[in-house]
Amino acid sequence: MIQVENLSFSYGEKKILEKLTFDIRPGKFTSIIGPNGAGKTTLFRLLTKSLPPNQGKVMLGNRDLAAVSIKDFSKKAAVVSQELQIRFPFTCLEIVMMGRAPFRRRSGQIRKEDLQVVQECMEWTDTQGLKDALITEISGGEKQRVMLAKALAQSPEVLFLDEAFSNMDIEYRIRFLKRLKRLAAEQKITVVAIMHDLHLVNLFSDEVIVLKQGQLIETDQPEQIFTPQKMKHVFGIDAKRISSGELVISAS
Amino acid sequence: MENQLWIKMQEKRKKEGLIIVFSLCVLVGFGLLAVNLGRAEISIVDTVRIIAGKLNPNLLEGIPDSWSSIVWNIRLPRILTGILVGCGLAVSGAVFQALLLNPLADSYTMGVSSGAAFGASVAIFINLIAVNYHLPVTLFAFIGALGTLALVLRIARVDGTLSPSNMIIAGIIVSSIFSAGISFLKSMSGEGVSAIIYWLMGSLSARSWMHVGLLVTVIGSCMAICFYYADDLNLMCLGDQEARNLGVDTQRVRWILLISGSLMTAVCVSVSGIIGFIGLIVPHLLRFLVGSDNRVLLPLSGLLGGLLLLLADTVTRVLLNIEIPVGVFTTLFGGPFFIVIFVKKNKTLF
Repeated sequence: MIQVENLSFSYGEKKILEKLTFDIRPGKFTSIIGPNGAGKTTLFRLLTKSLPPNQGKVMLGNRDLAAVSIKDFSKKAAVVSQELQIRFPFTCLEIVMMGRAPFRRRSGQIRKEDLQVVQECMEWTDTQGLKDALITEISGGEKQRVMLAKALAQSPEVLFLDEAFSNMDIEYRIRFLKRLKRLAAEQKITVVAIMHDLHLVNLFSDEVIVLKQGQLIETDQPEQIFTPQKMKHVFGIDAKRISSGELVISAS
Repeated sequence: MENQLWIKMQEKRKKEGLIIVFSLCVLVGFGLLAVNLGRAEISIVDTVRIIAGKLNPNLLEGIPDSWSSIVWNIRLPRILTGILVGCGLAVSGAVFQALLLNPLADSYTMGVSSGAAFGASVAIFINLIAVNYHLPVTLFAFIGALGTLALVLRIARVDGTLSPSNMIIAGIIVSSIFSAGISFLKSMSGEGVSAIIYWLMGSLSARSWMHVGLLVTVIGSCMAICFYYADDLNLMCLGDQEARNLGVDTQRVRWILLISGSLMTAVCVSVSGIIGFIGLIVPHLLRFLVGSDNRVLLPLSGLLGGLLLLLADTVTRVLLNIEIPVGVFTTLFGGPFFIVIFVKKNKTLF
């Protein structure tokens, strides 16, 4: 679905990413991990067309991302960003309906079938009770659920998540990760996520992209990534995957 | 379930449409009422006859020429100026709040008003010291406003992109420089200083059809542009990145709306001086009442802004026997009113 070829990025003299090449497969849940300053956010921004690459390219379904218009990109991919400040009292329903914006006509009138999608997405994220609540007055976790609903309302082929669950409680995180993984497999949606919680990355990813200091260390399945040697090398921690498939991180 | 929501939404649309039509009727009604109020007592019926008489001269029979002249040359231009200025300030205020992602921004945040005031001050100053000159104050104010807009955009533009915080900072810097410039001109104009001060306070008295024509052209076209992009403006309220992810070419829309909003402010300030709080309070108040959807918010802001300034001007013109500049009046009442909304709603300022 996404091919990254020889991708480099630098801010002035400072090199952030160097010559990354990898593929992200359709219908899979792919996570990007790495210590602070590894270049995860920059990579995320390059993949979501919010930064142009200095060198190399990102291909989205056989098309160079640079040649895809903003409008076409919004019809293919949805992004849930980390922290979002909304200062205007929109209702949550209005926010989720904005997810249909790429498909609307100029008049901006919402169609019946759009509303249908919006309602399904709100049910999917357990936000139907928040319809009339103001986005400025709900909790951080609720806001993230609404933003996820908005992204799903775009009916994306690719869903990008940047710490999209960080303010949700653990029960919701696990619930949504499960649902997303099923959604990815069933509807062939490609999910690309930045997550800090390595336990969750290990449990829910099909593929893991490991970055360190702007270099691609490895991209593979979780069982190949979460070995004691690699964890020591990348994060400087003692961690291993036990036989049941869970990750154990020791505090030594 | 979904049908219920669909019906609910259709009803909401209908209700919003009705509110807009109702507000328009109230505005027209008050407009006519305001024409009929004043020192010369002319009844509403005669007022309507005088206005309609422009199309059908037969209606003017039995009405003194002086009445016709008062209504047509004095009251109507002033009232229309008031409505249009209020409308322009409120719509541009709503647009700037959304563009700058700051509910406390208003039409003046970008410094356009200071530029206009400086341009006007220069014209008044030159008229004072050079007896032979008679520079048009409105035109100078408009040039000052446009110059400021260009300057602020130039400063705020980094690598070809405009960020809301840069625009606010650039606006503040340019504003303070022009304020100092105005103070300098004031200090140099000796006894004539009152002319500058009076202009700055904002007034609608003695406006002509020329002013109305200028306002209609500029505000009409800019407002049409703002309405056209109202839905994109909704998405931009979520921030630049979110709007792009939803398919909006944010740089383009931002430029278009910034220039439209600034032009509206520029023409308002040029015609009537600085009239405070309409651009801040009207969109703010309406957000509490009808929500943040700019497709509804912008037209309603225009109508309510026009109505408020018309009311304020009518009160200062008719009820109070002294001529208080309407800009002072709106700020004097608008300010405390704004505080009351905030305290009641128990909102934090930021």
